[in-house]
Amino acid sequence: MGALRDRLLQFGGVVRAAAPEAAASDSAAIRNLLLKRDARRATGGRERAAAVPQCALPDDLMELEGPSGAFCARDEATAATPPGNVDIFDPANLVYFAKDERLSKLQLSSAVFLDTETTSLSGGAGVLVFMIGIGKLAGDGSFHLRQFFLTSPSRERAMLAAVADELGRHASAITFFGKVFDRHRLEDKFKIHGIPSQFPADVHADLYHITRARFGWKLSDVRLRTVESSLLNIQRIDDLPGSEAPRAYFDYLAKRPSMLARVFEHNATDVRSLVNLLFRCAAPLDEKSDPREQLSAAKGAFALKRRAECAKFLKFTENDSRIALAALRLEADNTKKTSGAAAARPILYKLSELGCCESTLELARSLAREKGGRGEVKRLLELADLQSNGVPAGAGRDRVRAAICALKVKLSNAESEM
Amino acid sequence: MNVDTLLRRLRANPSFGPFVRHVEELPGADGSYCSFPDWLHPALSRACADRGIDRLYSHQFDALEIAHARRDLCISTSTASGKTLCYNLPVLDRAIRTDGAAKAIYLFPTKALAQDQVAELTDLITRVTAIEHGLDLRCFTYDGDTPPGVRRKLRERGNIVVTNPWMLHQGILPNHAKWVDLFRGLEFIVLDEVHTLSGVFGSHVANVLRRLVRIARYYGSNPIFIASSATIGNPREHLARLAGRPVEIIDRESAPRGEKTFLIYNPPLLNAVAGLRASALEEARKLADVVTSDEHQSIFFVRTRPQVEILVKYLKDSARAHGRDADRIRGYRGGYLPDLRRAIERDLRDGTVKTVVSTNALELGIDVGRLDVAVLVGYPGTVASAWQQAGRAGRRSQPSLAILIARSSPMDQYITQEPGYLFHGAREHATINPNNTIILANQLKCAAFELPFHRENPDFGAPDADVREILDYLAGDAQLLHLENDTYHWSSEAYPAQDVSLEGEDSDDVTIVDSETRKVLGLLARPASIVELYEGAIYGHQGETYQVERFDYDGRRAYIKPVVTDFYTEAQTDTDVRWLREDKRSPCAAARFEGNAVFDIVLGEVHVTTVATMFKKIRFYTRENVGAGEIHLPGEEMLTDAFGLVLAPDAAAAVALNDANRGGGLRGFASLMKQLAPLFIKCEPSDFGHSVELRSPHFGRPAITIFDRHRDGVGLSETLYHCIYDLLAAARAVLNRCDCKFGCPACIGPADEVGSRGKATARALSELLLGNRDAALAAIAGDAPAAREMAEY
Repeated sequence: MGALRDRLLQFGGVVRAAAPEAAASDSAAIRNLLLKRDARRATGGRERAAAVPQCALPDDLMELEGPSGAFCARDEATAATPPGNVDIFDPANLVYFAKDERLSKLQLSSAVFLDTETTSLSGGAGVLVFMIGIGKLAGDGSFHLRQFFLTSPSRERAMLAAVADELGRHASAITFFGKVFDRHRLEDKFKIHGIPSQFPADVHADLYHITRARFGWKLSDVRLRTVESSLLNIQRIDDLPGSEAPRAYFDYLAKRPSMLARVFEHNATDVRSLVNLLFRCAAPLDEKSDPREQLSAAKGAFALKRRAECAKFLKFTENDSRIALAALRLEADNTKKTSGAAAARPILYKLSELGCCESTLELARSLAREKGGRGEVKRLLELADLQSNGVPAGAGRDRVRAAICALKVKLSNAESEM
Repeated sequence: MNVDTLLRRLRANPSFGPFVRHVEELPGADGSYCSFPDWLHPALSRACADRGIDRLYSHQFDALEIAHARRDLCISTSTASGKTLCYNLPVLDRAIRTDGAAKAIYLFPTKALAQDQVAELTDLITRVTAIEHGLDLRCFTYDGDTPPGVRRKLRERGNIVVTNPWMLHQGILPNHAKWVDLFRGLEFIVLDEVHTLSGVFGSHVANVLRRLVRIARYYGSNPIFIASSATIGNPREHLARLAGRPVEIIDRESAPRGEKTFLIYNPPLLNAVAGLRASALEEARKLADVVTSDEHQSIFFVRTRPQVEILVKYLKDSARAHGRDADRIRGYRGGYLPDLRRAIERDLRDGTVKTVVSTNALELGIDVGRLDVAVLVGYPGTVASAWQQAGRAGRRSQPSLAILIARSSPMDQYITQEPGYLFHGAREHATINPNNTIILANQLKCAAFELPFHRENPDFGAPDADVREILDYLAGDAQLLHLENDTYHWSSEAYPAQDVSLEGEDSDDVTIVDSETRKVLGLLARPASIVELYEGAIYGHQGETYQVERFDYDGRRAYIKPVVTDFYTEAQTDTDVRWLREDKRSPCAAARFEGNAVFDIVLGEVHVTTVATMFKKIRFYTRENVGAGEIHLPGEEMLTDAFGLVLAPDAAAAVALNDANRGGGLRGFASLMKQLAPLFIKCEPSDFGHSVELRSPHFGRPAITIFDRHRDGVGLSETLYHCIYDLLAAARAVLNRCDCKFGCPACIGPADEVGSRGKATARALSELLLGNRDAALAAIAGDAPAAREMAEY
């Protein structure tokens, strides 16, 4: 019976009255079930839950005129000062953690803080972006939030056109996971409705990636709620989880009692959190900052080929045994790029002494390439061989050992030629 | 070795010569040619000339003209008649002239065909861009194997997207926003091998095409269809249903072809009384010694995947015994992983592989080059398939050989008795029913996810009233849609295409894992798993035998280990059928008995449970039964359409159906009807199931039930309802012509299964059902002496 019932459930979700499991009654049960199915078809569906007069929409929802017709939104302004000075906000550190030079152009006066609520996480044309929260920070530190809301799926185009129009007035965007999610959901919808996308994608700070790079070491995971409680000291009380937003919206559409009001709250909280988080992510790095943040910044600087900054950040990582190996590795790479292989050698020796097999191997290689002391190369290779026991078993260890072998063979070939 | 020598050798061989039942000499033909049409971009005609094509067959020319006039068309000509050029040229011509703005979607029924096609298209495009500098045209395959990392680039830059119905259904259409450029410029929908789009699968694909056209229209384009098909009986009707509008058919052959000799070989009768013939597979093994060599290429088509493995094992054993290279013999079937299949295809093309044993997986247009000899081990079930398979042999203007080895089955024996059916008869009809309620409902879910529906004018291609009814249901009970302002919007978190399988089956496969190496060896659909992967089953892979150690049914994984065995296994199943509802019922008008109709025919809905009960161990070569075991797996259940033949009580009494030993006759007759159904409907005997009851609880009378073996039915039973008299006549013809006395595999089944009075009862039934009362009574009266003879035998 299981498979059949599953199938009908999958088809319509109507077979709540399960047929009894006993084989003898199968036939009757199935006939019953089909009769019910057909009866429902004939009467055009079962009775709905009684409509509740309660209006789930916030009182302050306004009907506004947009470029493609009327849409609905609510506005909210807070005077609260953000946790930093709006005038002297410096995006410089964001650049390193995001590994994206374009973020140096981020200006708060022309930035939007954006978060969307959708009817599914899976993507595809049938997903509705039913709420778009867009926040702006004024020069005086006050924060203005507009929540665009899709009161009916048939008004999608009008709402999206208004959103596109709003986005088009701004040069940069701040989101949490928006590079992968919010931006694409919106742009897909724009395309379906033939609305040119004006998402400020060029200067887009995705705080998810930045937070992970800067603070990942002290976070158990990088979900917004975890980030809020660990970094911003914000505890959400009675917040509706984002995963329940679709249900709330469908309930609202079907005129059932709905938690829509709490979705508005949830979305507003999300957008406000972006402001706090942005300042936290962009906070200056100095000698007091944790060396692990310095190391992450150094990695970003290295990726952006900013050698001097990389070296500067690395200075702050010295004497921290937890990250010594990684910091030294980066220093070696950075030095090699700025001053050549020979200059990096003392660092590689340090690494080798710390037991880093790859570094010992690299030293041996670089010495062999320069036809350096054959004895030293041999010594290093023996050492690397020994150290390779410490490399986790698997492809990594196999590769290292293969490389050691290859170099040994090369060496002995060269010797026999002499 | 040339084909003439081969033929002479074969006919002179005393083991084979006498059993050749029919020789059809198919003359070669010269081609008829035209030059390229004037409108064709000169870069294209030059690119063709580069490849050695300096003129067109006249049917290709006709196709190009129709496509150029932007009318839908289908080319329905034989294998290797240059069908691909019929769509590649118009598509590329438009792409060149619009500087890449005109786009096309190519749909192939298999991934292998799609990849093959891209290779050919890329070659043509490379030649064109070498001539026409600055032109940037791209085609690519978009399927499950396309790495996610490159998908975006492909979406943005492809002019021709080569894909398959599954990917279109689950990947492209639900995400049409990501394909806006493609849909805006879409001018062509190319459908290859449309004869394969039949049954449930075809019915689903027809709806996927409705969705495709709907989205294209939304973005302002109006693509035409260019289809290709093997020869079928109803191309016009099939295409009209598939495309949702009339399509012009080109079926005139104008390509040259070499002579072909087509032999029908009926293996010797081993036991005349029991009607047992030598096994076709066994005969194929012996025949292979004569028709295969390292100097030419041969292909053997068998019916099932296990048979591939058995025959490959036989052929490799034999090659080793004769000191030949066994690696030049390969198997090919679904369930092998893609890399292995590509390697085998390549080795066939370059001639490394000399002999290949395949299921119908190689029947379609995958380019493996042309081979010299095709051996069909058993009639493949349809005339279309038989010609596709035979068409694998035959290099242009060189003689080729095709051999059909008949099995003992009624269909095969019918072909040996009536070879004209194969060579001159009408082709089968492709049956699809895109408006089947369940299929339509599932597809409407997917369509509603893609774009909203307007209630007054749903414009989906199915009758508006039906569509409205289903949409109302989806908005009401199912709570998947939201109706507002007369428009249905998708309002669910679900991604419906994920849950809708185009095969109409639950889309869960069982993964087959080598328990020692933990390597995945293949996949098998769950419904088939209960008869192939039960614990103890012998599973073949590339001619090696494995045994199923453990089958984790819930986890959908089967663990197998290599074993050396001299037997294989075959599962037996029990099927339980219950009638739930009658939709149509009519008394037979022609045949009357004592003034009453002899039988009623009924169309309705049934519930079917299939349980695998036990398996037999069967020794290779001798086929003797060497053991058995029990199977403990959950049954497969489904609701489906069924056809019922319900006998009137006095008619049943006239043929003494209730007497001892008569029930076997009714069972045998039902089995014969099922076996012969594909003569009239494009399907396989395995598309039907049947059950026989001497006293049906539902009808209260003796009844034969033949049901669609597809979930929810695909209209096969309905077709049966309409062609029942033709089917009964064919059954009578087979029964009367069959030489056996007590039933044999070629008619109602072997005597030990149908009983001593089985055949007489079946003959009586066939006469009675066709209105020959006297003949029926005579058959019954004459069976007593026969039964005695049987007892003595």
